[in-house]
Amino acid sequence: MRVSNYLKEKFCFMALKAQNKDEAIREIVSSLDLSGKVIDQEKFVNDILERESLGSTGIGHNVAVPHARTPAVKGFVIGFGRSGLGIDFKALDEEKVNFIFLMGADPSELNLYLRILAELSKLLMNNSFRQALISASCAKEVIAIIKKFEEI
Amino acid sequence: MKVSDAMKKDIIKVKRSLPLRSLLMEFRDFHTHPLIPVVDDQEHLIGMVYPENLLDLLRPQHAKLFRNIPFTEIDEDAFDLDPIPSMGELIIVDDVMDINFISIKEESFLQDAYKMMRLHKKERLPVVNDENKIVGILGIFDIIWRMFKEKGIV
Repeated sequence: MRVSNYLKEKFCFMALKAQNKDEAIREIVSSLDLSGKVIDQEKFVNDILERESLGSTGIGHNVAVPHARTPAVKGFVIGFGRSGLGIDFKALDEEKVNFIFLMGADPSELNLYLRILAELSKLLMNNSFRQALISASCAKEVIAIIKKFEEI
Repeated sequence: MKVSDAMKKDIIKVKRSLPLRSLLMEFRDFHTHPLIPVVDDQEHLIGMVYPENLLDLLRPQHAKLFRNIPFTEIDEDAFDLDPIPSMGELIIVDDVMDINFISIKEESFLQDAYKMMRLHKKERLPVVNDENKIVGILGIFDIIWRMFKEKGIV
């Protein structure tokens, strides 16, 4: 149950153009459309925003993991976005967010979804992992870093 | 006899936005009800949380504690995770609730409730009224108790 099994280079943004939470979510969701698993992009975005309204997924340390179980997605998708300036996510520690891992899953995929969320949260709490993500120069490197830290 | 004659009316229920940390406290305090209904602001039943859903967030050594609970189809891979403290806030009820749940109407006959439990292999069912608002939980023992009571044994 690895994040690297699902995250592909084409779903990684090394420099998000987005200035706010809403735009960042839309930008990453637009790339996930390439997966062929997004049935309804607009509904996917709205369901993620609705989940955010129940509680921010900004878990501190400049990281956010917006996610939703939604019929707008078939199976499971995950995308990554990095923002140099940072985005206000109303995070727990009130810091801006530089790394966003966005996930969507079919409502029936409860187990897979929770395991990936748990796995990802563990990786993101590792300071060395976050430092490596800051220095990554391309999407290929992001995936390689994730694989490396998953082995630890 | 109707479901409403036998169900437990004193139940706990939670909202979608409740964080995992608070949800665990609810389960701890009401562990005799191994399922918690999730309701919207108008008390409509929108999901159910079962303790086994939470296993996916646990490490092996903690999960072992739960192995005497009868549940099915938990593969060993589920026990390979290391939850972090911030998950207590990150994960909310909306993330772990089951939206494909079975419920029964309070006006249904107990016999039908029993058949439904057998068919879906559930020992407890949430009970709703005509407006789909949660009004109770019916367990297999509630049915047994009601039947013995009917015969004057208790």
